[in-house]
Amino acid sequence: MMVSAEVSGLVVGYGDELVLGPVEFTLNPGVTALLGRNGSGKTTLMRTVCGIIPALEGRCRVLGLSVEDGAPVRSKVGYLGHESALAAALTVEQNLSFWSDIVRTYPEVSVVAVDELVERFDLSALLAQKVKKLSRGQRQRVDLARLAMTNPQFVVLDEPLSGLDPVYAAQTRKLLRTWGETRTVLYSTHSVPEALEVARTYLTISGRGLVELGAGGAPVTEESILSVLEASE
Amino acid sequence: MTKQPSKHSRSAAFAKRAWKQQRSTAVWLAAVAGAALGVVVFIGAGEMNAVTNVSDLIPHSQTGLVSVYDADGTVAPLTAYLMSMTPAILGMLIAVVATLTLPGVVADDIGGGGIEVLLASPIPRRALFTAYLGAGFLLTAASWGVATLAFAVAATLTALTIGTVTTLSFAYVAALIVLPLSMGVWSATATLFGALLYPGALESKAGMNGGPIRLLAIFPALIIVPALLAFPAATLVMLAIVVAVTIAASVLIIFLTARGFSSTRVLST
Repeated sequence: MMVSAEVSGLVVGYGDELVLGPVEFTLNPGVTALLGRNGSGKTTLMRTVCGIIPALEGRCRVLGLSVEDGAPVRSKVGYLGHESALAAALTVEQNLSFWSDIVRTYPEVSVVAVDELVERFDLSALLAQKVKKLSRGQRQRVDLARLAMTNPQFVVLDEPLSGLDPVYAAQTRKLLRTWGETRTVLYSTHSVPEALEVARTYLTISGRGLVELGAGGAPVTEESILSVLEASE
Repeated sequence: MTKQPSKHSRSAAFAKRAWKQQRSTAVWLAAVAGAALGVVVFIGAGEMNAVTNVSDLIPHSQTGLVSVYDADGTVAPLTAYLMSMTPAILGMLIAVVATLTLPGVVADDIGGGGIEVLLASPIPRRALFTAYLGAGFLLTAASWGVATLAFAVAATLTALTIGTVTTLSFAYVAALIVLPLSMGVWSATATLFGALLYPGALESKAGMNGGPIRLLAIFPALIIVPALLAFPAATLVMLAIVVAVTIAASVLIIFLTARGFSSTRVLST
């Protein structure tokens, strides 16, 4: 099986401020949950893996390539931040049109048509609405459609399930599992039961290090994850 | 379908989005400000044109940029003087419009998750900055064009209505076109500098409505208007100095913003 991401000796942070590391792990196709306590460095780690911020030290390769600034491999990476990537003052249609125009400038990418995304994510009723009028769940759906535009092979999502109502949360969990069948999905969460339902492997932040659970099919329980999280106090 | 990257279409996408986000503010505010100035400059002087014993405040002789005669053929010195100041006042209005519209061009991205997605994309940082800058310039140019046109139309109609005869020198027309544009460009670059690198500096502070970056953006206008009042004989020279300084300062601040625009900086603010 091809390794989707390979991280070694990675230290992450902002400028002189070290947040996490050094850490080592690999990611394979399927869903991996990143768990950690508040402020433990989940977002910083995911930003570094995607090449949004540079690593302070170490190496990170995605789909066999480095993700430095401007690298074409980024066309194959889909990122969903904790905050929506949509302009609040514009309509859903205008936002999708903007992102469609942007992703068409990416090198070597097959762009999924907006009409197809609207149908797939059931957005037709929302198209004319301004994003600022949407609920968190509706906004999330539009943002996921935006992410799906490039049909990314490596998907990173920062707390995609937080703040969603039960129906949207269930739909998003299903989407993550579906994506995990054909691509690599790394997502962060605070909920251990939810992670156990969605993911197959687990990266758990403990102090400034990382514990990999579930690799090789080893059984993972809520207690085993919590014990790692509690050890980070 | 495989597409090759195009920086032009990327910049066009940013410009299109900025236009959709801010066009009503940029266009209407500029139109109202330009038109109001065009009317006020002709009717604002009122009877003051006939007053001759206030030479310390109003220059008796024409500034050399504009000649204005009222319906009776009498020289209207205060109107001429106000006209000679309009490039600076129009520049100030355009600078203010830029400080009101441009933060919105990047605010949603910086305040939301847009910037993270863009930084995760294969678009190089420098190209991203260029796209924001292009969008900012588009809005500023639109404000400038609308404000100048509104001023020209309103001033012409007002002058015709009250029977004023106005002769504009080439230098005045050049100043009317170039000075507001240069002050708008300065305001745009200073505002983008703040929006991208120091978003907090655009927040209102006690006693400084709009934050220090907005003050910096309209600073040339705050200097030139009182300077023109104080030294009316040097109007053309001062307008030329302002054009040169604002263009040079804009180039410098674009360079500084491009250098400082990094993901670590943007995401840690």
